[in-house]
Amino acid sequence: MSIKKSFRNFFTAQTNSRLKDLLLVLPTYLWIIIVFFIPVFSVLILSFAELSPVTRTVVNFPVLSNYAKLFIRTDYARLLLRTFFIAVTVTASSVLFAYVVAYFIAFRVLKNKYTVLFLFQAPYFATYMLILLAWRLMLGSTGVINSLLLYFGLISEPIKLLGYNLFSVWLVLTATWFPWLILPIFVSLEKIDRVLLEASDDLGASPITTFLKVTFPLSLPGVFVAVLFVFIPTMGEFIAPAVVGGRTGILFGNLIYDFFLKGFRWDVAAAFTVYLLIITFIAVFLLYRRIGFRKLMESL
Amino acid sequence: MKIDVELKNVTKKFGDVVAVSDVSFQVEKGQFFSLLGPSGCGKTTILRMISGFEKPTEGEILIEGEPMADVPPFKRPTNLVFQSLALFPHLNVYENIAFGLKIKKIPENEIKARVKEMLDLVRLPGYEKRKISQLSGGEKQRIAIVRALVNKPTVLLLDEPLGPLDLKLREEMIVELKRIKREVGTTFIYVTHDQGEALTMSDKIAVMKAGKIMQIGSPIEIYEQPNSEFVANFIGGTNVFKGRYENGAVEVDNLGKITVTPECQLSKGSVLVSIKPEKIFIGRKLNALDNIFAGEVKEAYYQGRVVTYRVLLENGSSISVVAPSPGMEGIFGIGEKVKIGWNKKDSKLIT
Ligand SMILES: Nc1ncnc2c1ncn2[C@@H]1O[C@H](COP(=O)(O)OP(=O)(O)OP(=O)(O)O)[C@@H](O)[C@H]1O
Ligand SMILES: [Mg+2]
Repeated sequence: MSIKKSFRNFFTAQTNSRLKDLLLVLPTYLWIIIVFFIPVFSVLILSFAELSPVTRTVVNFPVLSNYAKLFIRTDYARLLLRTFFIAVTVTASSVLFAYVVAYFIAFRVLKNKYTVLFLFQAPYFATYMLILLAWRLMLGSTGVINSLLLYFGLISEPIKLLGYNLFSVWLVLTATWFPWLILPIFVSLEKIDRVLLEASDDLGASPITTFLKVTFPLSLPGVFVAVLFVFIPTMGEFIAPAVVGGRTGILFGNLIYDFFLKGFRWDVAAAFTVYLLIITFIAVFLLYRRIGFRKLMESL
Repeated sequence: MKIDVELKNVTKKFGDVVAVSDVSFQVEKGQFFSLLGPSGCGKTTILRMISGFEKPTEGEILIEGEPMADVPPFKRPTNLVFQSLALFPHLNVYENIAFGLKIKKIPENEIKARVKEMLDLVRLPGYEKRKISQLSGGEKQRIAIVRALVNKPTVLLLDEPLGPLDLKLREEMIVELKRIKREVGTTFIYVTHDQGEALTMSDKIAVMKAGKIMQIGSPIEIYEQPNSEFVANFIGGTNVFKGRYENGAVEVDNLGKITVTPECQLSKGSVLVSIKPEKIFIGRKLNALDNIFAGEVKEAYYQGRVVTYRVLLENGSSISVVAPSPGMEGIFGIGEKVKIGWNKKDSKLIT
């Protein structure tokens, strides 16, 4: 085929439908590249550079010293582990609460189902900061909860657990996340054809067996979406720990924040961000392996 | 004979809607019992009450003589093939069929053997690993049937299992179901709105209308001796004339006398006479028949095996006639003057 001919074919309908498809989706890809890949790529490059703390110009490239920082002081690595642990716990507890509520709305509420659902979405209307400040007022050794309990004589000294600490971070994150997770789980529960549950019942399954063998597996896409929804941001969370974490409740995000804004170590902050990215990618990849992107996205 | 299922004066109301009204019947062990009736007459509701998904508003259901009122579905010795099949989309064919057996904690190797046996029974060997979404309509149907059957229920309930299939597949599946029934010997309660299916497969048929049972009997009884105009019509379109009975004949307005068999003479006064279309002869000349009338062909449909005519009689009523295919001689054309007739034994009085 001559070059001229193939050039003409380039613009004819059938031969290049794939190219046309590409042109159609190009703006979307461009957008993703601009808002996602370019920043991530910059962070990646930065993480391998050594910046002068004073002038913030690149002194050395490429180096691994920024990554090595994690292991130089054991408390950095420990903080990362602790953050992972908190992210897993917050994910588990908020998804569990959301599941219970979503299940209740989907299967037990017969009238005004969607009104009930809507009421649970009410926290959307308050800003995150407002909710956090409210929690800050309630928690703490002199916070509303402890003061009230003391006032009514139910306790003789403030409950330590409700002070500004790691437990409070878990509590606040769980409480603020779970309403957001109800919706994806509700949708996947609501999608389940009720006749499947009857079929299971008919085949001899008790209500619990039906839940374990039919309802739960069929709601997994929604659960996975919820898990991603909460796990990823919690790994990088630094606001809630700053507001209600006190001295013992800080997370890896706070460390990055400090490196970035207080220590002016952008290079180290970048490397530590990459650590978070890696963990997040592993989590997403594992979920993807388990059910596939298609199902994951369909359930959204 | 042992009774497997018995309904005693069962009524089911959904709010103001009476879905099932004072229904009673008995199903013997090993019987193929059909519930036949038009859409919305309460067939599914009856099956759902037998399998335990709905509670009767009034009346009682017994399975093998045991009252079922307080027995939840998962503890009943019944299995239901759902109208919508309800195969589990997250499980493959093997896991679907094995579902009930696994719950009963049957050893894995026995489950394997029984699933294989079932797949052989419905002629789908080697389908274990298939996903449900990879099955054709007819294959899904058969998997749904064996998923229920593999549990060896006392009673297998089938809710229009052949509904969405095309004609050819339906006919194949009817043969298949009869064979399965013969091989396993379980009691079947079969719901359908297709009289052909019911007549072909059943030992006993209950014809329903608006939540009530109109007639229960063997296919022959239902077909040959319908007890009402509804049953006669539903079970395969019939010709009904209204008239007054007198001395072995029915006087029909503007048409004349229709002779009937002596044993019908019990009824007096206003009656209905039913004549099945395939019992009526059609020709240019007819003789040696008890009832002969003249008419004009209004419609003619060649259907291969038979020809269906609609003939307008002199009194203005039309009658349908199903005649054997005439071969290459051709069928009567529209507008042709013909004679139609039948023997008096084929004039059935209905009340
Ligand atoms: N859960 C329900 N709530 C209210 N009405 C119902 C309910 N289930 C059934 N009905 C009504 O009861 C009647 C009988 O319904 P059923 O499903 O038993 O009919 P069917 O004979 O199976 O019809 P089809 O052949 O169309 O499946 C219908 O009028 C239907 O609208
Ligand atoms: Mg039905």
